[in-house]
Amino acid sequence: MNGNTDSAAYKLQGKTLPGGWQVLGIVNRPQGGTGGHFSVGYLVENGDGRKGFLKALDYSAAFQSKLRPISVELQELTESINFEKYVLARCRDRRLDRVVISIADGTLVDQQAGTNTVEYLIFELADCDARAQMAIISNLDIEWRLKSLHDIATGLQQLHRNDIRHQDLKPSNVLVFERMLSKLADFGRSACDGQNPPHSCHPFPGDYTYAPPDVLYGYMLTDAKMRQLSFDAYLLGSMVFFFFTGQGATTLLLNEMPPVYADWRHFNGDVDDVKLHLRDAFVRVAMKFPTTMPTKCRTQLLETVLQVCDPDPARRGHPREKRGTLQQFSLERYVTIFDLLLMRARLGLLV
Amino acid sequence: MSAPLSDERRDVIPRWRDVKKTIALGELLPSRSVESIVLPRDFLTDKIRDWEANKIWPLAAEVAGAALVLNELDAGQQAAEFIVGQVPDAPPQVREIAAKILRLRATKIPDRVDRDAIVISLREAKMMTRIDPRDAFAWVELSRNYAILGQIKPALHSVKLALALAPNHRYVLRSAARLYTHIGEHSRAYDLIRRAEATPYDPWLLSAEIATAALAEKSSSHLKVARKLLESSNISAFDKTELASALATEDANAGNLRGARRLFRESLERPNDNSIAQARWAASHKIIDLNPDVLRVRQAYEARAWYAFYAGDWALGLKAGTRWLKDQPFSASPAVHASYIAAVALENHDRAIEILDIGRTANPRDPNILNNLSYSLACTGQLDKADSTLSLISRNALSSSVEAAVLATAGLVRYRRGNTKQGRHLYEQAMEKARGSSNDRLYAKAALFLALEELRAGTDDAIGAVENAIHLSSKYQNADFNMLRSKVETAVEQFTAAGSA
Repeated sequence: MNGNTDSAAYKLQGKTLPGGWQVLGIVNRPQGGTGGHFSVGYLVENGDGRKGFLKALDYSAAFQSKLRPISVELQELTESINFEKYVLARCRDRRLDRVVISIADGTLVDQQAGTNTVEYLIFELADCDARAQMAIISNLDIEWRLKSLHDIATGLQQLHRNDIRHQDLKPSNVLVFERMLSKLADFGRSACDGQNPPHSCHPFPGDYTYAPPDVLYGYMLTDAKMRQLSFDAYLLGSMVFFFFTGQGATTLLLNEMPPVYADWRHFNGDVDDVKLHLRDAFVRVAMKFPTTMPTKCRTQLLETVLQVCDPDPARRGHPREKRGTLQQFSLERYVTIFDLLLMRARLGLLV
Repeated sequence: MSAPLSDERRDVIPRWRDVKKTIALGELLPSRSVESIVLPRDFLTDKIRDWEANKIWPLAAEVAGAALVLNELDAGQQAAEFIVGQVPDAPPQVREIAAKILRLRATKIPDRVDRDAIVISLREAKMMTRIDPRDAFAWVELSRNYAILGQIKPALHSVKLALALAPNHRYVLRSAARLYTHIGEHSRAYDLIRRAEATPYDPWLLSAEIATAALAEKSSSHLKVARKLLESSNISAFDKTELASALATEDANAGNLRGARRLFRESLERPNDNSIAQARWAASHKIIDLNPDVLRVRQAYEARAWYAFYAGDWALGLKAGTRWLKDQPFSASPAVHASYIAAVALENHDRAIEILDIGRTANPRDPNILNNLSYSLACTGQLDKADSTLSLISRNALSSSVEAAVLATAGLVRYRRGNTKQGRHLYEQAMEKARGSSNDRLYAKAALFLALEELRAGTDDAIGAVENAIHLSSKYQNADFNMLRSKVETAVEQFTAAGSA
């Protein structure tokens, strides 16, 4: 939370919103990733006892910016929230069931507050995110991990089929419902055909600590849509690493790089050179892929991460998909792989 | 006994180490910008806040991972301490990264070059190429391990694949060139480097080109470009060290000693182990004066080994020679050098045999290694093994000096078997061989070894052999001959004492 606590966005506790939603209290950390654009999180409940998570946009924060004119901040903030609403509406309209959609949204005007307009979105309330879930499941619980991976891959596939690329998939953006169902959250950094949100000027708008190496070392694909799909494929693989090693692909990759090359923030060398080091590091990461799971499962998961996390985005994706086309990054085969592994795990056939 | 291999000439042939060590030594560094890339937003604060609010290991792991990616290790300190101290069952990768954040040193695995260790390393490299056949460095490492095991055919195959994947990469090209020179294909090494597109722009490749051209007895086709690049102020003194050294050697061989001195000085501004070894060679040939302080540079084992050899510091010579062998285990030179010191100067034959076993793994047919091994085996009473080891030497293409050394060792084995007549005959043959090839030094050395065997056997000819050896060797006043003469003198004392008793 970055804003002014005197602003209206911080004074919603106890209020009743249209639709009968009662604002219960501030949540320290909004569910589904970063608060992003100056947002405040609340726990809400409606008349029939259904709970939700409210994300209130704090316009006052825009007035505190010292780096850019207020008008620019406000415009960006407005465009961002409108974009997120658009994407969420699209997901809701297309009935995407592996993404966290908003239940309601609206605008409140508080006459007492200095900055008196609050835009809000209400989402279904999750139990926790994938990080918290990892802390409570057993190291040997492969079934839960495979189920979550299947849900995540399905969620991404649903988005892709509806012309949306997430671009910020990470453990905190995977929300867990009823302890078993995983859904993708936070579309604040996504891309959608026909839309031009403020973050679209960044080649990679997501979290740099999970970013693919092509982002860090500057050799991304030039076609925007191909590039975004290549990010999503990589980030899916990164979730596989997270579930089985506790760390994302980028951390593991840089950990295996020679230190002088791992310092990408000062790298000014030859891209072809660093690609060789990245490939070598990537193979070393693969060599350390856990062996404490059934062989069949390990083989399939390792093959998957080798394909979707390839350091070269031009080689990313399933080898049977046509290279150089959008189809290259199709996740359909991976949905099937996770599904099959899950079925086998449930039937006790994973050996 | 084969003395250290010839010090008559030396070229700045690239070293061949694994890629990690090569980078650590600074020979493969990328360009770096002074300014750090500015991140579009803060990616750490929220993660730290999450972890502080809920102290569970995945949140701590996320902070540590983010700190590592952003190279802000201090920011991940507390989270890493939490993982290391309180989460013993966290996944190994999480604990490894936490330890890295805390700069906890992993247990250092000693550089092992015995067969078992190399086989493990080879298997790992092979596994890496199976996981991703496009990993050029894994192919180079596989090739290096095959070379250390003396399996040249697969070593060549692996390096060929690496070259196909990265035909212009400095490390790959220099590794391939080193392999080709190792197997005596000097022209192939030269052609490879000469034709590489990257060569005219890379001082490390230019130095390799000049060195391989000299080995192949050809004229470097990049001399002008090399001299021009050496003048560039955009290249660091360290990046130019081997180039200056190679050009200095070129000038020295052409008789331009003034130019050579200037370039050797330049090569020592920020030297590496190879340019120091080259400067040591130049100093031994009175081309330059060498400040011994430069020998302290990391990995300068070869230079130290030779320096100690000429200084007669045998303990240091053996230590440096052994490290040189560990650093370049595929090369026969360090094994011959170190085993000579161990066996002859220090009379530590068990150590010599250990060293030669390592050298023999990479060079199973090397006549100098087999000869020295046979010598030490005979000296430890393993006469049958000594004979069978000598019999492995193919006599067809031996140089006169190596043939003389092999004959001398055969003579020593006969002496140790009690057959003084045959032994003396073989030593005399060895001396004739040396004299026939105008190698007076070897002639004198063989005479000293013969005298030692005569004294040891207590023959009537012993004193005559001693007088002859002292006479022949008197013009060689250096640590090696002094040491041998001293051994003869001691043996004479023992011989006389035994006679009077």
